[in-house]
Amino acid sequence: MNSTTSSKPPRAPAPLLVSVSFRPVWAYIDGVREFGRFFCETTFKQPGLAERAQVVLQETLENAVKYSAPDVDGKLEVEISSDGSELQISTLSHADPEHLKNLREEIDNLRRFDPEAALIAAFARAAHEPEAPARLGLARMRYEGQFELQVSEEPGGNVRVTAVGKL
Amino acid sequence: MSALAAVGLPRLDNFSAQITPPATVQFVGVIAIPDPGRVLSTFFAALHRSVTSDGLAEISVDVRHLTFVNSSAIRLFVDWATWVRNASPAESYVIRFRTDRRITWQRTSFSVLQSLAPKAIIIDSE
Amino acid sequence: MLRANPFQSPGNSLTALTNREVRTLVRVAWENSENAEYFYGFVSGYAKSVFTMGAADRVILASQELLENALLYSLMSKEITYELGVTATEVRVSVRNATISSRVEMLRAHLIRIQENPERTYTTELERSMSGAGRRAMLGLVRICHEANMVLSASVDGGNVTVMATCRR
Repeated sequence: MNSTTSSKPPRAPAPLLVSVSFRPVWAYIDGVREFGRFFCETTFKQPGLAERAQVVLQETLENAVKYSAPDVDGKLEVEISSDGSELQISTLSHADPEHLKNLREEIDNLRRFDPEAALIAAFARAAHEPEAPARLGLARMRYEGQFELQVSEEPGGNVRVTAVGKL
Repeated sequence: MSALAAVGLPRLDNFSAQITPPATVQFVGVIAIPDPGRVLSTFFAALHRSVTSDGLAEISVDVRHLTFVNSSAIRLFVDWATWVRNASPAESYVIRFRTDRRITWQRTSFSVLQSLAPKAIIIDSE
Repeated sequence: MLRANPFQSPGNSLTALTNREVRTLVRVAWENSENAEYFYGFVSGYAKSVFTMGAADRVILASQELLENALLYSLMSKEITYELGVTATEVRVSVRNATISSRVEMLRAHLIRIQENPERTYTTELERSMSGAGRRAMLGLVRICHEANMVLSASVDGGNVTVMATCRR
C-alpha cells in the first residue's frame, strides 16, 4: 500500500520520456544529470528549464545514493515524465526505512515555508550548525528548481521521491 | 610573495581555481563530488587566512564560469561567509563575488549568502 | 547473425514470452531530434559502467547505428523510442520509430540480404559507402551484425518499425 505525504488525490501518470536504471553508486550521477539536462534542453524549449532540472536531478540522485539500503542487488531508477504542462522527475530506490521517515518530516517541514524562506533558513542552519545536516538540497529544489516534492513508499521497501515542476 | 599567491591550488576533476595577486580568485567548472569539503575546505580556509594575513580589504572571487555546484559545495561558500562575518575588526574584509545572472544557482544562492553577512559580501552580477 | 525469421509480427509468442524476462535499463522517448550527440555520450559511459568491455563496445555501436538510422529515416515529428534491456543471458538494444511502407520493404530486403551473406553484404555496403553510392543506414545495420556480432531482428506494428540488436552478456 502506498502512503504519501500529500493529501491531494494521486496524479494521473504523465507520459514517461526517460527511464534509467543503475546501481546506487555516485559514479553514475554526473552522466545521468548531464544527460537529463541535455534531454530537457532539446525536448522542452522553455528557457531555464534544463538548469532547473539539473539541480533536481543532482540533489535527488545524491539523496537516493546516500540513503540506499546496502543491498548487493540494489538498483536506483530515475524517470523523467511530462504531460506537456508539468515536468516530473522521480527516483525509486531501496532506502533505509529511517531515511524515509526523516525525508517525509523534512519535506513536511519545508512545505510550511515559501521556497525562498526555506532556502534562507537552510543557509542559516548551515552557518550556525556546521556539523548538522543543512538540508540545503531539498530547499534548493524548491526555490532554485521551482519543483515541489512528494515521497511515497512502494512495494519491496522502495521509496519514490517525485519532484514536479511547471514547464 | 603574498600569502594569497602562495595558497596551494586544489586538484579536482572538472574544477580549477586560479589566483591572481594581489586579490583575485577565479573558480571554473563544476563541483558535484560526494564530499567537496574533503578536498576544498582547506583551500577555502587557506584563502580566508591569506586574505587576513595580507591585510587585504577586499578579495574578488570570480565564479562566472563555475557552472554548477551541488548543495555540499554551497556549504563551502556558507562557511567562508561565516568566517568573514565572525572576523575581528582588525581582520575583517569584504568578499566581492562576480557572478553571472544567467546561471540559476548563482542568481539564487549568492543573494541568500549575502543575507548571512550583508556587510562582508558584495555581489557584482553581470 | 540474424534470427531465422528476422521480421516478426507483433504478438509473436516467443517475443512475448521473452519480453516478460527483459529488464529495461535505459528507455528514452523523444520527438525526432536532429541533435542526439549528447545521448551517444551518455549511452557510451553508461554501457562501459554496466557491461564488460566486449559487450559495452557492441552495445555502443548498436545504439549509435540504430538511433542514427531512426533519426535519419523516421517520419518528421514522430516519436523515436530507444530501449536498452537485459535478460539473464542477453543484452538488447532496440529503437522504434514511425516510418513508411516503402522503407519497411527496403529494411526487410536488406535484412534478408544480410542473412544470406553477411560478409559479402558488409563488403558491398562498405564499398558503396566509400564511393558515396550507398545509403548510410544499410552500412550501419550490417556493421551491427558483422562488426558487433549481434543478432538483428525487426518487427512492424502499424506505422512503426522496431529494430532490435541482441548479443550475449
